[in-house]
Order: sequence, then C-alpha cells, then structure tokens
Amino acid sequence: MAKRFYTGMMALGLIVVTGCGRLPAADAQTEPRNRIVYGLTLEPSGFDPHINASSELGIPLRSVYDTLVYRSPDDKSFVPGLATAWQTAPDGLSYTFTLRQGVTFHDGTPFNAAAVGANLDRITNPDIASQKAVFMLGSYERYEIIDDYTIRLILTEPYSPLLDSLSQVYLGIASPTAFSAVSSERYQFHQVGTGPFEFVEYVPGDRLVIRRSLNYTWLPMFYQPISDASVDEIEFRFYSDAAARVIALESGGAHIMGELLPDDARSLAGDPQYQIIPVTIPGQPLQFMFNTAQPPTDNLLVRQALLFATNRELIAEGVFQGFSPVAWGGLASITPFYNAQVVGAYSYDTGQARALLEQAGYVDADNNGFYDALDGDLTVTLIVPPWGLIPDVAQLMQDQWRQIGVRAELDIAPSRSMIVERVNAGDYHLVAFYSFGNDPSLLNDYFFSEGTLNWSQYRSSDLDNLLIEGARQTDPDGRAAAYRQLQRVILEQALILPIRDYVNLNAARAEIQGLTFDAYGWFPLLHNLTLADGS
Amino acid sequence: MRQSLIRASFSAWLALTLLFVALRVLPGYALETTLLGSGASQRVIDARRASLGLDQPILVQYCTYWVGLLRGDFGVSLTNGLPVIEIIAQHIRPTLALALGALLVALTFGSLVGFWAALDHPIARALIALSLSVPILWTGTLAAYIFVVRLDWLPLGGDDIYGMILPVGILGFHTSGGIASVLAAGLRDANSADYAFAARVKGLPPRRVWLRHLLPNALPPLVSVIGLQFGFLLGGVAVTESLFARPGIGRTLVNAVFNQDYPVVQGIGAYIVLVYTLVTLITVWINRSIDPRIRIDS
Repeated sequence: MAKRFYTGMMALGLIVVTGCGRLPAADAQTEPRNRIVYGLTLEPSGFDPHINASSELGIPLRSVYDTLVYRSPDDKSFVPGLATAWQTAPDGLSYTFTLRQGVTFHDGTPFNAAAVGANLDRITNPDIASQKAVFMLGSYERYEIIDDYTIRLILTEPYSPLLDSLSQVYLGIASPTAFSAVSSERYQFHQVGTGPFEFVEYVPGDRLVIRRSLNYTWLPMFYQPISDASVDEIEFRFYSDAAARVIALESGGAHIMGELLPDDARSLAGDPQYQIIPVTIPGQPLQFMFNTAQPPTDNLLVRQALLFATNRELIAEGVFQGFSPVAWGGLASITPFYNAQVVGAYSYDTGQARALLEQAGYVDADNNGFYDALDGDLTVTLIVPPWGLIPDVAQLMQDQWRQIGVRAELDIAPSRSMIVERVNAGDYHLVAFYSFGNDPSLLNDYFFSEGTLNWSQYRSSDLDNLLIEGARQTDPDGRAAAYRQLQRVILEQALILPIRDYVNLNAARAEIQGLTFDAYGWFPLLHNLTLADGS
Repeated sequence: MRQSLIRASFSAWLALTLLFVALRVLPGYALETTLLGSGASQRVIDARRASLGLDQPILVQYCTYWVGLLRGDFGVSLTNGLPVIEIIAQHIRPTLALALGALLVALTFGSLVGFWAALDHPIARALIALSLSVPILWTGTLAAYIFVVRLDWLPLGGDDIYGMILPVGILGFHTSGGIASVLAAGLRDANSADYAFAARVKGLPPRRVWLRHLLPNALPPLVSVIGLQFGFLLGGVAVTESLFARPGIGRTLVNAVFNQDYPVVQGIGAYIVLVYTLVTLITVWINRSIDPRIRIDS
C-alpha cells in the first residue's frame, strides 16, 4: 500500500514538473493589442547581423535596425535611411554621409557619426569573426568623423557595391551602448537599434519577439504611418517541418508563414482564408554549373546540347507549380543590371541538342538509345543537394536527357560541406546552387578564375576583367556595360544551366494586410502590417 | 557496483571517441560553408580554420578534446560563439519536461496494454505493433491535423500544459510499445511457470496471482527497458520537437550536425553518453533491490 502511495506521489510530481513549468506572465498594461505569430523555417545558428550570415535573421531584424541607406522596394534605387544624403568622391575612394539628426536608439543612446564609427569598428574587429558583414565592406579601410553628423568612409580602391552593402541588415546600425555592455556572443540576446520595432527577447530554439517602438518618428519612403490596426508585437517561431508549417497556419497558431512547399501553396491558394504571396528573390537563380575541366562537359558543344535538351518550362510548372519564372541567365530577372537579352537562350529544342552532340562526334553505334562514350554510354554526373526541391528538378532533367540519348547520374550531397568535398574531388559534370542579393558582384565568388566557388573550373582573363570592372566602376552605365557583357559571355560559353528564379512562397491568413517585402525579397516590411478587425 | 562503474566509464570513453572520429571523417566544418559565398577569400577561410585549431593534427585535437572534457569545458559553438554548456542548459528544461511527461504516459498506457496483451487480446497486440512500427512523423502529423486543425481542441505547440498534451501524448504512445511488449512477454513467461500453477491451484484470486506473483518476476527486464527508453527520451527527440516547433536537445543536435558545429555535437554527445550511463547505473541499482536473484549472483 505504501508503495502505491509513493508511486502516486511521484506521478503527481511529474505532472507538476512537466505541466506547470511556467505560468503565462500577463501584464495588462503592456499587453499589445495586435499581436501576431510569424513562422520561420530554420532557426539560424546565430542572430547577430554583424556576425552571422543567414537570410532568416533579417526577417525579424530588418525592422529592428535602420541602415544608412535603403533600396526602394519599387525600383531598387538608393533612398535615404539614417543618412539623409551621401556623396561618392569622383575617384570612388571615399563616401561621405550626412546623417539624420534627432534619432535615438531604443535605449536612448543618441545616433550620430560616432555611433556609426563604433559599428564599423565592431564589424571589422577580428575578435567578433564576422561571417558576412565584414566581407560586404569590400575595400573599406577606415572612417573619418567630419562632424557630429557627417562621416566619411575611406576605401583602398573603388568598390561600387558599397552602397548596396550599407543598405542591408548585416550592416544595420546598432546602439554602441548596447553592444559594448556585453560580450560579442551575448549581444544577440540584447539587441538595440533605431528601427520601427524594438527587440524584446530571443529564446534559442523557441522564439524571438519584437515590439513596436513608440519613438519611431521618421519614416523611410516605403513605410506607411501607423494606425490602430497596425501590428504592434510579433513573435517569430521556428517551424522546420513542412507539414507543421501548414498545420500552424491552418490552426491559426501562426498568421504568416514563409517558405511553403509549392504543392502546399497550391492547395492553400484556392481557400479564401489564406493569401499566397510569392516573392521573387534577386540574385543567382537556381542553376547548375558545368564542370569545364572534365570530359564530356569540357566540350562547349556538349554543354550547349544539354542546355537545349532541358525543358525548363516543364520543370517550373511541374516542380514549382508555376510559381517560379523560368531563368535564362546568370542573374534573376529582378536583379539590378540583369541583361534581358538572355531570355529564350537555348530554349528547349531536342533536335538542336542531338545535332550538337553529333557535331561533337558522338554516335550511337550499339543502337541502345544512348550516345556512346569511351567506356559505355555518354554519361554525366550531377551533384544534387537535398534541399530546395533540387532532387525533383534533377530527376526531371535526367528524364529529359534520356530522351536525347544522354545518361545522367544523380549524386546526392547532403550538406554544403559535402558539395565542396565532391567538387574538390573533381569527379562531376554539373553542380546545383543559387544565391541571393541585389548587387551583381555576388557573381565574383563563382566566376573569378580564383573564386572560392568557381565550380566551373573555367579560367579566363576576360571574365576576370569584366568582374573587376563591374566592381570598380562608379558610373552605373559603366557597370551595366560590364555586367551585360559578363552575362552574355557566361551563356556563350555555356558555363551554367539556369532553371528558375528563386521564389519565396509566403502565406498569410486573410486578416493580415499589408504584407510586402523589401528590395531583397526575403525581408518583410513589418512596419506596414495591419490586422483586420474582428480577429 | 565497482565493476559496473568501470564498465560504464569504458563505454563512455568509447562512445566519446567514436563521436570524435565520426565528426572528423566528415568533410568541412561549420564556418567554411558559411564563409564560402560570403565574399571571403580562401586565405581568410584558412586563417579562420587555423584560429579554431582545426588545422592541428588529429591526435593533438583529440588530446585537446579530452583535456576540455575532463575539465568540464565543452568549448564554444563555432557558429554563434556561445559556450556549449550554456546551449545544452538552455535546452534541457523543455527536453526534460517532454521526456518525463512522455515516460509517464508510456508507463501508464504501456502497463495497461501490457497486461491486456499478456491475455493475448488482438487489439492490445495491434496497439503495440502500431506504437512500435508506425513512424512518429506520421502519427504526429495525423494527430496534429485532427486535434489542432479539424477539432481545434489543442494548440500545435507552446510551453503551457495545453501545448504539451499532443507532443507528450504522441511520444508517450510510441514509447509505450516497448514497455508493453516486454511486460506482456514477462507476464506470459511467468504465467507458464510452475509457481503460477501452484498459486492458482491453491485457490488464489486471479488478480492476486497476476499482481503478487507474476508481476514481480516480469519486472527486472521491464526496468531495463524503461531505463533505455528514458535515456532515449532525455537525449531529445528531434522529430517530435520539430513537428511541434519545440525547443530541445534533439533539434539542437540535428542543427549542429548539419552545421558541422563540432563542439556542440560533441557536447551534446557527451551529455547523452552521461545520461545513458547514469540511467543504466540506476537501472542496475533498482534491479538489484527488487530482484533478490541478482543480489545473490553477484
């Protein structure tokens, strides 16, 4: 009997431990009226924009920080942010910013030139080991404070992507008081900016919460004035499971959800309870890069044949449910300096594909439906990461290429490190990737002869010079000419097989209004969100 | 007892060494893949690698690893700089809550089904099969769809008692199968023994035969299974955690593996080894106290 009593007590104890771990701490006075839950996919490994590199971190933090300049979401031109005006020296070696007056950080620290300087010092400090921000500064060397509201950035050589970098959340301006108060790895829990939302808390694995700032007195051109319906508190949660994303949205547990699978987006699209908001992300489209150092793709004719043999419309329709535009060149169609002449290049034509292979000397002597290579059938190997529906794309390509007599083998590489390892081993013909950004200098890592991601193994001083020219020219027309030429050469040499522009499929419940995104596509303009009555 | 301690230490050493080797066999490391594509030059990437000591010979790294472990220093995460101990500490509470809750459900449900299955009831056997063989992703998604979306009775996740019901219930159900099947097998074995027959012919009521005579004999293997299941639960259950968007050790471990964040994977690995070792020792101790045969043997 006594034993049973103890068992009962233990059970009771368990219920107490598991159930009542935390009681909701409701505080009526600060209780926000319009609170929503925003679902993120993966939890970034770190949330400090100066240190970490993920796109997800910018989804909440874009609204906590302001940047010196912004890009207009409409035409992507640079518009004032924390700097009201800026001037590039004629030699491109310095940028002078006139700063906005009367701005304070959420902790009361005044915003001025010294604050901007302190941020640059932090980002370039080797001790914080920045994973992205420091590289975005390019040839930045130092700054000069001209007066309280004027700062000059000095470069060692012209670097025209600088303004684009300064418009991104990774170079957001943080309160020097806040980041000097804690060690660099702790700052991610105590972030302070000047933006429309204040950082409330970040609980790893669980949530990140931001709340509307009552002191946001100036508005960049793309923010609307707030109203009673404006969302005033947002909790970000991490839904890494695709099924859970849809369930959370359907149950009302989350109001907005990013990165839906195309099939899920398609099935929600017919329901008036939800809105599907597809956003094309500028940068490099989903594409395969050809290895030009390995037969048979060392032969230009073979690369061109494979381009002709790929039915991209079918892939965009079948795998991506028609939400994604077909990609034709090295830049997504909404990226600045995109060359529209690439449209329709190597459009699906199996006759042309066969003709090119035969011109390259391939025959099908054993009549088995495949062209012959030295050791059996003509075969190419594709390195395929498991994310982004790339395996589905690769399977369709495998099917399409079989029809023109080329075998494709899929080599699934489960992580980025695995891709790098397979590429270093050299035994591949195509490798899939995509990247995000608005400045075409993002092509550098992939197309410079010595680029860290030059998976095509293509080395040409022509491409190198165009890339250098594109990053050095301060005149937009000069940049445009260099990048136009670059995009043409990439296609003429058939270095890549573009598939589709990357599209982030967002869904929101019907009561959410005003969900729009900034010039980079990933980052919502949370300030403009409103909640319809009765929800 | 001393022998089991020595055995436990040896298993712990072996597990931690295998973990170390497994991670080094994989190519690359956390930061490299982030830095590639961030505009960093190969020179910078190599320098960062060296500053983390990853360019050292593997034996030197192994020694550093053990010196750290023995001093209780698990290092810092390669991706966000936080001490590994702190990362583990942050995720233990939700994992512990989930594990204790699920164990409670599994014990209650598993014992009932176990008795029922010992009587050879087909429904009980079907429940055990369902619990053991259907993946949790499937039942979890189905339960979430029914109770969260269709019926709107429960939230998908959340840290309060309502948010815990689904993950605890689903995980408890899937843990109960092992408990029920071991219990049923033990009871059936005991039931065919001579002393069970003797008890019956003496005219004892069936309830007393089952609870007083058969159950104690079925208990020792059951305790071992419960210990193993509990260790497994405490190691975190990544699928349940990500399905219900809960923080926890399992999800953190999976993320760290994908990021190849060595110190975090090693730290959580060491935590899991420690948990299993402790749970096993406790199981041995419990079995010794409930089973006189073990006491006499040793």
